[in-house]
Amino acid sequence: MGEKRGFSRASFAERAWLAIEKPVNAVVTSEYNPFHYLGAISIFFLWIILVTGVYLFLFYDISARGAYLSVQSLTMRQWYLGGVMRSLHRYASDGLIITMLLHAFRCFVTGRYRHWRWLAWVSGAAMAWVIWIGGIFGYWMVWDERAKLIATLSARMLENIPIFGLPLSLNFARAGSLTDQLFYIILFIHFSTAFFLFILIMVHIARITKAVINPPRVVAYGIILALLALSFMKPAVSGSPAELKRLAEAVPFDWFFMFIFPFLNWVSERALWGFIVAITLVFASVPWLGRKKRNPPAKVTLENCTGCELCMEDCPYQAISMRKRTDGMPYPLEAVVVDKRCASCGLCVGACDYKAINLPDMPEDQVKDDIKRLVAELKEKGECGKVLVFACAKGPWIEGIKDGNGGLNGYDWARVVALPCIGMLQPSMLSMALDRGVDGVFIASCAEGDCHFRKGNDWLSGRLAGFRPPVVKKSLDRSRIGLQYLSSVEGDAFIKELTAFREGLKARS
Amino acid sequence: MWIAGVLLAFILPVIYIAIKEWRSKKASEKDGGPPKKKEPMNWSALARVSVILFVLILPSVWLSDISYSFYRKEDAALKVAFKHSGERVAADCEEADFIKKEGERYRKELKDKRQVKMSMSKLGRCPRERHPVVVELYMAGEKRLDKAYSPTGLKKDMASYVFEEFLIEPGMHRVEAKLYRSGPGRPADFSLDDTVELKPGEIRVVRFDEKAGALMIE
Repeated sequence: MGEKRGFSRASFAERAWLAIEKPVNAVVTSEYNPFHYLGAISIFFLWIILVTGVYLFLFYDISARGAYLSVQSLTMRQWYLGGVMRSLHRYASDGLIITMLLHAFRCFVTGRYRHWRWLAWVSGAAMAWVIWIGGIFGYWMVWDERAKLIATLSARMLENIPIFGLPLSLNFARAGSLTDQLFYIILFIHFSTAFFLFILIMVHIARITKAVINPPRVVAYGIILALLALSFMKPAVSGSPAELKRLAEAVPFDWFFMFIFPFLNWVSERALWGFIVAITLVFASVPWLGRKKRNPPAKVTLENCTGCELCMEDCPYQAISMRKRTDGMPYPLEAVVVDKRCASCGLCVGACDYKAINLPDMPEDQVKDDIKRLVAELKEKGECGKVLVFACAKGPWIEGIKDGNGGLNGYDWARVVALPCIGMLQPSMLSMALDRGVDGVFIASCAEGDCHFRKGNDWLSGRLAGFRPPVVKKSLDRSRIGLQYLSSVEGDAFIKELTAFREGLKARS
Repeated sequence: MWIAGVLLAFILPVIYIAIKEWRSKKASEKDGGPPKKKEPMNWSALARVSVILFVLILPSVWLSDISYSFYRKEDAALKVAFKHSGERVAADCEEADFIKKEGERYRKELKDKRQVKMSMSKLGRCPRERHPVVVELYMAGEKRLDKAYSPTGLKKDMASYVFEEFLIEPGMHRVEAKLYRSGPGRPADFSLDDTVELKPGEIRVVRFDEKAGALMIE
């Protein structure tokens, strides 16, 4: 057995971010909080972009002369559908940038980017590139004054990449050199980004079990309503047609996509490329910068493993696989942990009833010994309304978690058992506490839809409801079990709910 | 046809993901997931979520309205923009000469034999490299450009592409341009000496007119 695991409080940045989310939770509940589904919302925006893009494509004239006119005609003559589709396409693209950046920022402040998550982080950086490239070329297609400026500036940038032999700017130096082929190429690049994005999304979620790629129905409809409202409030329109005999004048700029170009006023194209590449490399290498010590991965005790596959099913990062039995036991399979992918969250421990998988720094026996000790302490007090709390280390911060002695300052009638993830809580741990004499068990989980290890609170709910094995015994009195989903900044709410739970227990006894 | 091809290429991954998602959903139901029951829409939550999402996306309205201009209002521009092929670099083997000789041989042998093969392998060994195109540009007597543009293509046998942009003050300007296409030490093959008047925001282009065979300002 290694060193016992300790838990630390969420960082200041994480607490600050969660404090911002707290009022949103209060308004829409944690179940529908858009901040909990930023990745899924981004994918939903992509669907909207794809569907509206296909519609726009049907009316788009792929030619130098017709591009502007076809877009303008669609926007003006068919404002009720084509115009709305264009606006949805445009605002969904901006929305995608917003949610993508928030998703990255949220993952960063909550520490969800290191170790086993590196692939998702790096593929996310690649996706950002593809999204920006696709958006910039999308603006070319309208071929208005804004498109001309964007084309001029992006061509300058592209010409400075040594792989391009021909100066792209030559294509729009004068009206005579503007060819239809250029619009075919732009359309192809714009379309290709969708293709590359879907491939990158597959890579992004490759090491994730049951990835959330669709937001809840309420959030999905909410997105459509919000985008429609914006589309009618301020429809996306074209500027005046691109005039190649004149320099591009001041045009309204989409700063979500074009923020990089104004730097050209101060630095050369090559310096700007250097800056972009450096920023990308720094961003992509974030999982390896300031890397924290990793907790030891879960270990399989082969003689106890029945090959039931529950741990593999429950592992949120596909760190457990099954292979043919190697020890001659009469079971067809055995579990194997891929150490590099293991998050040491303990979800597999919660799924195993046979003590076949354990966290070396927090074995099941040690947790059960703690339960026995704390229940004995509570019984010694002899008070009515004794409560044992199972707390997720990423849930509401309770001082008792930190020192590991299980005490809860000012609440003598309660003791705390802290777990790295609430999904580690085995049904047998609940039974043990109740059978040994506590009046109630209170489970403090992390916020709904925002489990640090993705699925812990979902799996626990399933076990309590009796549909996810190993299930909590039906004979166990559910009124003696309290469950609250709270984030790490909701310590006050935890105390309030815990006190109310105790009062309920006392009233019944 | 190509449209169908492109659409298919993009729709296939989408279908793949949709099927994968459907299968994983089915599998989750099979392995003991909660019984799926379509819950009625929570209208009040929908209203509140819509407002929050609206506020979240609202910055895009302002951030797409802030104007930006790369150029100053008082700028005008002169561009040098054209495509032109330099002359072939002199080589021992002359491509046209070789084709002529090989054609003659072919015709001669065809009289005596039933089957005659053309030998084009020598043609492939004949260098086709072109000279770079050099452009000089003078404005009011001051040299603003003196640059060689390499021929494109792996064998450097294709055209050179010239593009330069000069931001200048509006007004009358004397523009002199010289184009060299025959290699170093040779006089300019084409030249231009003209006066142009540029208004603020206006662009004029120095280009090579293939039909007229001359440099001109458009």
